[in-house]
Amino acid sequence: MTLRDTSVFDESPWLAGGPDRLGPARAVPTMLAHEEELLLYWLTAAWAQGSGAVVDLGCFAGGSTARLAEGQREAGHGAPIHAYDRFGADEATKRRFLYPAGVARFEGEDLLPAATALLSPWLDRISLHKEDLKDTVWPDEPIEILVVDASKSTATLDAIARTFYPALQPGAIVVHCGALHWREPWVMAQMLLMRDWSPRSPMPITRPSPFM
Amino acid sequence: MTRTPDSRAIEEGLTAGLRDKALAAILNSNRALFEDYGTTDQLDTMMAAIAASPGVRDAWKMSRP
Repeated sequence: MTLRDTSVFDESPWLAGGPDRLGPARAVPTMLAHEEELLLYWLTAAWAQGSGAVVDLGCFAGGSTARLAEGQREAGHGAPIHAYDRFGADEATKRRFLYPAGVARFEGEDLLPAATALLSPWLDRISLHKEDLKDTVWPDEPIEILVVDASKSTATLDAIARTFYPALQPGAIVVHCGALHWREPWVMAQMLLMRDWSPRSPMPITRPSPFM
Repeated sequence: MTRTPDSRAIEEGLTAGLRDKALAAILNSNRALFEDYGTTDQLDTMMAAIAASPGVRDAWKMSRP
């Protein structure tokens, strides 16, 4: 994969067309901000070349994964999409985010069955991994798009770096959700420590998140 | 990424070993970048959060500044 001109990011092209372009992905619950969901869709629909895997770390009920997958389907690419999460939801989370979005009530905290059902339109291109990211082993497979919304501790962020960053192909895009959130100051610190490896300084897409 | 990060780059980007002072210094030394993007309020809140939660490295344990 060759390096490409990233100046297009300055123009926020993902905003064009609005949420209707998300299609059925809009129905999958997410904690993403509006601009974030449009960005993820655009990355796979218009930016990615299908040259490497799309990896979604911390996908919750699959909302981010659905937006990535729908974009990829629109683009006609077939690179594998790997989504990781602990897939757990307590009652408060279910009441706040899932049930209002139409997810059927379920017993227990295992979110994987519900996420699998929600992602059924795209399961031919998605692999779901119920894992602790501190224990994940990534196969020797290049990554083109890496979305990180799981850096809730320095231990996890560092594990993500050790596991996934060596697979980032030249030109890969890394999106750090929550990079400007006061609860996760280490995310921006890491991006700044590694800024020499990026063709541009970390840039905010929305405030407070994400950064890429 | 302009190129695949090597092991040295990844080691230099690790955060668990950063003390509060170092973590804050990394952020604050890049204040100009935050100014460029109009995000100094977020920077200041992150700095205050670090000060309000000494040594904490889990998001769910951070105290609101």
